[in-house]
Amino acid sequence: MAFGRNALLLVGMAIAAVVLANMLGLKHAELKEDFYITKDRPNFVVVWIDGDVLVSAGFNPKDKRLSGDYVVQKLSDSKPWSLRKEHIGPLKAPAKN
Amino acid sequence: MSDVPPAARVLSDAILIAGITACSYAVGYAYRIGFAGHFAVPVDLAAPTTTAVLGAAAGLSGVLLSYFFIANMVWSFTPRHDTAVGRAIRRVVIVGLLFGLMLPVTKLDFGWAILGAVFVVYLCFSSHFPYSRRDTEAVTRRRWRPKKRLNRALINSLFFTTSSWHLGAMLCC
Repeated sequence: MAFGRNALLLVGMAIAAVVLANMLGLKHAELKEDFYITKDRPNFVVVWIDGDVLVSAGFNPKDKRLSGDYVVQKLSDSKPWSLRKEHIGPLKAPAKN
Repeated sequence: MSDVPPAARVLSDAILIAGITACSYAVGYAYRIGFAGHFAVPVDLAAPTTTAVLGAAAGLSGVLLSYFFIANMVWSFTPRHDTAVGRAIRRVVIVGLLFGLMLPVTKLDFGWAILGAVFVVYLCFSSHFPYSRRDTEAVTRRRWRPKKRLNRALINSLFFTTSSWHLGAMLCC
């Protein structure tokens, strides 16, 4: 079977790669156990750091469930971030109301 | 054989390179959207950065290259002669390689839907379909003649695919 450069097949592969990447991202988030936590917000885990912007999501430490709240912080020179890595365990998705 | 014109390329090099770049961007963005979705972070905040795009491209190409390296090695051991046994062995090897690629995917949410889509693509490009015969004609410059036994070949193909599904389901369960 020679795939060659068939446009239909390549477009199909690209779509499959995008769908697969989306599912992998979701699975990675579900299985992630170690999170960075800021000192001033112990019930918020850092989702990602994008340049000088930090995005964190709130969770309930008792049932390890995300609360659905999120915080966007911008790095400033006057107030530096203080992060520590903690093993929290996989966090469940926020409950749907 | 010198009078046979070369097979026309559907995509040029420039379009292919641009497509790979766009695909890497889309893959990085899709990964971040999936990651943000679990934490209920808005999608607007999940803008893909250069690092995310490069990481997605490196990860995807690394996995696919490793897979194709192994698949190429397995494929090199299949018989090349054009007999019924040779074709059957090649088909089994193709299905085995597809399952090898797709088995990790079934662990994900909606993984079986992806597996089904791959099989639909496989069916469309297998030699049992008239579309594929016309496609072969375009590449080899040989005239396509519809065969009377097409219906039987179609039934055989569907039976083969259904059997493969059952085999895959048994392996996964």
